[in-house]
Amino acid sequence: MTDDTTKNDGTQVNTATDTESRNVTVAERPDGGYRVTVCAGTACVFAGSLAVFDAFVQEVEQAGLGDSVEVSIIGCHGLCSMSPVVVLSDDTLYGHLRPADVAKVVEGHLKGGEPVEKFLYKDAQTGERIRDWHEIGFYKAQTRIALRDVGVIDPESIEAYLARGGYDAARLALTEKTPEWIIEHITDSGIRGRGGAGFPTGVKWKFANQSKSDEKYLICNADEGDPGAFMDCSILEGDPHTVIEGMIIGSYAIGAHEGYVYVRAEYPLAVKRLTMAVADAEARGLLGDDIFGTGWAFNVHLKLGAGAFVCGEETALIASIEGKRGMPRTRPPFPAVSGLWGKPTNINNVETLANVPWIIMHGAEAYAALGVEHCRGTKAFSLAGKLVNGGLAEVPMGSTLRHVIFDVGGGIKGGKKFKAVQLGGPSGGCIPASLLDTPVDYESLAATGAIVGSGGMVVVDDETCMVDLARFFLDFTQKESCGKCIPCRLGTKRMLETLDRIIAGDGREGDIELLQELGGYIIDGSLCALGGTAPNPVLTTIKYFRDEYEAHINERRCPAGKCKSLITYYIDAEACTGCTLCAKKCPTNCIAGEKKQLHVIDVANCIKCDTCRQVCKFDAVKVRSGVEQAVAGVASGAEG
Amino acid sequence: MATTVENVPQTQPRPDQITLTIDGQDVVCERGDTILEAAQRIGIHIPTLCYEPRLPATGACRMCIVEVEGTRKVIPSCSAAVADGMVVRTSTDKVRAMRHLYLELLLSDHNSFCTPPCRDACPTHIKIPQFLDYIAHKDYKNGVRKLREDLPFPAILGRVCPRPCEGPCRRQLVEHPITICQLHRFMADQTIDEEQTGELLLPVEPKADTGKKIAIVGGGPAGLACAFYARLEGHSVKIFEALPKPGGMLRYGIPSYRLPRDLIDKEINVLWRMGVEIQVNSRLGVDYQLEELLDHYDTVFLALGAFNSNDMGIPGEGADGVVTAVDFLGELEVTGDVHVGDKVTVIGGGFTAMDACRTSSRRGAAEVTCLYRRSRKEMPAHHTEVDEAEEEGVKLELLCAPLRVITGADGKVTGIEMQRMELGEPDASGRRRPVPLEGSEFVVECDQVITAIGQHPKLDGTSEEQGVKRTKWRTIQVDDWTYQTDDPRVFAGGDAVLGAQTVIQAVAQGKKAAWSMDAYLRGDDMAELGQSLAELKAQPFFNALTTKTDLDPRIARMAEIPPVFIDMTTDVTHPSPPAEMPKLEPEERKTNFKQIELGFSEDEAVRGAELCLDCYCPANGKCDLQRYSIEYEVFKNRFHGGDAHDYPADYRHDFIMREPNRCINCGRCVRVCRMEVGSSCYDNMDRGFDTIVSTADNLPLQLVGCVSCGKCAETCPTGSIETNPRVLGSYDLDESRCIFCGECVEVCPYNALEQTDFFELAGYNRTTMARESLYVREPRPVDPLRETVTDLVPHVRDAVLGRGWLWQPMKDDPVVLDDPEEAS
Repeated sequence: MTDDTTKNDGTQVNTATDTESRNVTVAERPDGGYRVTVCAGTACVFAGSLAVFDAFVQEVEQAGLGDSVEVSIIGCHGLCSMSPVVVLSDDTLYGHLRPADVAKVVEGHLKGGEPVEKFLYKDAQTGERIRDWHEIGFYKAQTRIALRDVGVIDPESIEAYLARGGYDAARLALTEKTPEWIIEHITDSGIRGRGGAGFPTGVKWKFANQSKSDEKYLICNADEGDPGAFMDCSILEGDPHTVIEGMIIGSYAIGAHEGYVYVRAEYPLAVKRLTMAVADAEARGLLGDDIFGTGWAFNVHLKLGAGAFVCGEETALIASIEGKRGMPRTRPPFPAVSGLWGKPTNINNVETLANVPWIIMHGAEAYAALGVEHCRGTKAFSLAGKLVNGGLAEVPMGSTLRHVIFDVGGGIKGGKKFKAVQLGGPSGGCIPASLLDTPVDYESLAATGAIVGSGGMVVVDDETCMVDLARFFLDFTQKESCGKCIPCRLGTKRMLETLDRIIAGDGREGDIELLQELGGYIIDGSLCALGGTAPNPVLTTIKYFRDEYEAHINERRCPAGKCKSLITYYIDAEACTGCTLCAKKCPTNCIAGEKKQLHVIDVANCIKCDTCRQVCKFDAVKVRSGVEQAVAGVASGAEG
Repeated sequence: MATTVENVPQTQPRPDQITLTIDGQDVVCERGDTILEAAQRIGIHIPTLCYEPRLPATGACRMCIVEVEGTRKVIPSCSAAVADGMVVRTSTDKVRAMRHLYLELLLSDHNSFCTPPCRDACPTHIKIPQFLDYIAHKDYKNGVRKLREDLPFPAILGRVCPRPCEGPCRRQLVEHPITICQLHRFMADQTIDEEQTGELLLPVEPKADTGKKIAIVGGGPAGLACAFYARLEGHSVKIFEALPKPGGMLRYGIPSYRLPRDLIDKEINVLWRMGVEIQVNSRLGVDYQLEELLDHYDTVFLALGAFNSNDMGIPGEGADGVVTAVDFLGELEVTGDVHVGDKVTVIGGGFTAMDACRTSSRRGAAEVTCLYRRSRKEMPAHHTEVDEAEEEGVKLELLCAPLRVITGADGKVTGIEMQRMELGEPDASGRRRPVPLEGSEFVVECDQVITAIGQHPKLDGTSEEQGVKRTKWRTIQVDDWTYQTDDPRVFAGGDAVLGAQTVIQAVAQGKKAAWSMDAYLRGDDMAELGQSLAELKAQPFFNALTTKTDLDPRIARMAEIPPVFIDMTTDVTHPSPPAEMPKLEPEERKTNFKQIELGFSEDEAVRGAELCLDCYCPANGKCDLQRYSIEYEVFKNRFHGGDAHDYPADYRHDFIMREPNRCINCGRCVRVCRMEVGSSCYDNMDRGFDTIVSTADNLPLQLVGCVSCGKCAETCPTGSIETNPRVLGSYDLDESRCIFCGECVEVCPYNALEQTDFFELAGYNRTTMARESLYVREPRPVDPLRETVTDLVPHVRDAVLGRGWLWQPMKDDPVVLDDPEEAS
């Protein structure tokens, strides 16, 4: 480094593009040695990736490869269903690695040059092992912009980010462009808020820019709270600098000198890496009073949210930062006019901000070329549920659900049948198989009753009861309601009670209509989007799976065999081998039967814990939907 | 082309103004106004619960939603700004349906009640939750005082009342009704003996003598009650009783096993001690004439009772052995003896019939049969009476009506021919009408027939010429509200007006007649009084409640407002059935006239009183939730039975009482306390369904920076936060310690403390200066409704009844500075 580094004129950034700095990426080492990157996204960390990392360091050292092999961590690589994931610089992807397996990989691959077949990705359909992760359907079907560096670079190293051209966009914007140019550019790109509402980002920035005030604020909303959604978490964990860079550009565009990242405290890894990233950026003068020598001042503060779901709502989020109870307030005034501390405030989602540097560097046209009319660019989704490939995926707007679920997600696990996908978390809706060709964009999804939301996708198979699923999500929103407005606080509670009643087999005539009435008026009358979307899971399941509700209410049975009050367990006489395992495991001793004889469940004492069905190796324990019917079933089973 | 300002007519909006249409009316308003403000400007009321005019909109209650043309969703008018050309509809079917649903939801977790249904059901409207509270605190003397505000004879009514109050008791929604009647009997029993010679337990001291004289004809319940309340108003009262002792039907109609005679004497003795004169053995029309009374008295109250029995209208009715129940019971009381047959039949199913049955069996009848034309369910007697009669061996023969009395050769009764009936359509009284079954005649053998099929007034000594007009039911015709006959000096009430009814109804009439006579004697325009009461009754319930508070209390006390019940939550954490009144066993009682009901023990009574849910809200008539619930007719709640909260009330602060069960989480107190007062005592706590406005960690208000300003109570749209009446003489200043920092003057939210001209004179003699420099301002007059709070808050009650004045926060600030000496 030269004296330039001491100057605060952006020259540091130039040096960052040196080849030396590039070495910290996953690109192959010039000496032909391997670089081993261990995924350190939350899912992989939970699956033990840090122990795997340690094992690699140790094994590489022991194998004497210390000079030619480098081991580092990366942010979420995406394919969480393979966690812990390890990616080599020759694009080999290993999954499900235990620390004990590391030695085999080091021996076989790093030393021997031969991929270890056993830990490679196995295609569910063909059974073929795929070495190069680019060839895996999950990745092949994606187009990554927001996630471009997630899982590629070391998230804890600013050098890694700089080496990939990081902060170039901010530099360009601040040194050469006007705020008006940026806003126009962002508007032209057609990007819309990725937090869920889909408000055009350019327009939002324009409002904030036009608000006259001595002080303005820019807030990055990282209060991702939907069950099953982890896009923002992964971006913050895998590429925190891109968010900071997006914020710098945004601050310049709207005229804010203070920025907040409102991040959930229950994302400790994201908080740690973000804290590190802010400190590194400050140290390099990328945040502070004189960014790139332009005199532009911008500071980023972290505000840790306590985990209230409603704090993702912008006015509640502002109240929370101000130290008040996180409760939404009525709008107008909109935050762009009066937000944090009563000053004009612009709030953008993590993913939106992560797109900004790319748009600045690649041009609005390049972004707008992706997606469909009114919905440009890409959208990140977190795929969860009964999918073959669960994880983080980014596809162009307008891709069909089928594409996301079957091409990226690889279809349903265990060869089961796709039943529905819950889109947009608890605020979203359930979309049935018949609508799989719906394009993923704000308007098309809204037409189905679901929403894009923040991008959580929970896929369910035919073993899931839709009433129960709706109840699960409503239970979540009901508990997370801030309690301020009547429809949300009390209406969702009464809806939940109605669902509870239906699930318990006490459903009444007119309950479906009651749910629809309540749901409609809660959506229409609630103060904020939490209440305004809370009934969606119920209303869409009624819309697409009304027969299931009717079966619960009128026939007192649960077609999916999930609602305990409406099912009965019995043993299939054909399949039972009399192994006694189920009887041994039964916690209430309600299974009778001698060795090698047919076993019978005493339904009177059965607590429907499902243990017998899980332990049976012959699939002999079955569930029959309905109560009276099942008693007859046991009798016939016993005769057989 | 420039337009000149002069060309624009005055009514045209200025260019910076906005014109919009609300419910078809054009409104001109300022830019930045909200739709709510615009609507208020033209007198359109949009319901709101959380809107506080002094603070920015919060949008919590969602009641102010309106539809705006061109928008898909409804919008909250409290925060939505007006726009040019906007077309707003405030009361469409959709918004009304939504408001209705929201009210239903609110009420489904509103574990409270506006008015106690028991009190509404009682003809005298006794303050039931209040007197039960006294019993629960073993304060029987004050309990009796409270009860006597509405009912002078708790011991008597505690035994003979048909208890209309217990029917609607809200506790039975969770278990059994409270034994209200027996509890006030208990309370009176504790005090009645001491009262014979000791302190009289009157609700208020009798007013100073007015010099007006009232004559009351008839010493029954109506006359006695009238005497009591007329005496309290300061008039001199004399009762003229035809029979040897006062009491009327209490004494001559009700047997002593239900109502011991000494109790009648004791409660009448209270009247005597109050200065009421009673002249017995003086019958109107025989011993004196109405005109004579009018010569000597300013007003006359005719409480003649209903001593004439109705005829059966069947052959043989005059036969030897046929007697009316009134004569039968009266003779026994007057002479101490009466002829009783061997086999007695009693015709009728009311209280009198039961009394006749059970008296006959006690006087030696071998067999007593009660004949009634409808089924048991329709019997007018209280079901316990019927049960007890049966226990004592009385036979019931239901669904049969008498056809003729059969007599023997000697002209004496030998039997009665009956006809079977079946129940047809309900009649005007709601009971199913009996229809004869042809060919179903049968004979009941007997040697005595006692008829108890109703009575009508004996109006001897009065005539239509005297202005005492009759109705077609042979009762006296009076004004519905003033109880005046055509002669404005002559009032009437009780059975003479009602026909034979219950004691409690007679008492209610006597009381209101006394109040009416008071108004007359004080020179009120009676026609106007009657009209204002009639108008009040005709008003919608909530308006009537509000209007009532504006009336003169002397008139308001006579008001009758048919109640409306809003369906809301009832949740009881610890159910516990009330004690049952111990009774004599049938074997022990059926041959004598011992009192059957033995009375509660103190523990039983206290426990019984503690069960009261206190269905009373001090905000009744002022509550916005109540108003809208009535307006939107939320009388049936689909969500009843779901989860509901049962919070303890918070009496820990001396001045501010919090009842979270009435909280609707509108957040007005939160915001007023934070933004106006600066104390920030409150916030929403917890999440989801459990969200509730409270203090941090639910600490008492005094520990979270409360300055006792009462603004939270002032803004509360329901009765969730109420101020307790304060009892203060004045603040005392310890001159030796005051440093005249002025802090108290500074922080007082009501500017109750003032600096005087001497204040700056730091070198002045401290003692003198302090006395003259700081003083507490005089309060506004007490809102009469606040008095009810007193009754609910035990620890304040004693203080209020003692010395001192009532403090109440002032809503507006029209404070007049007065000499503190005068104020005290």
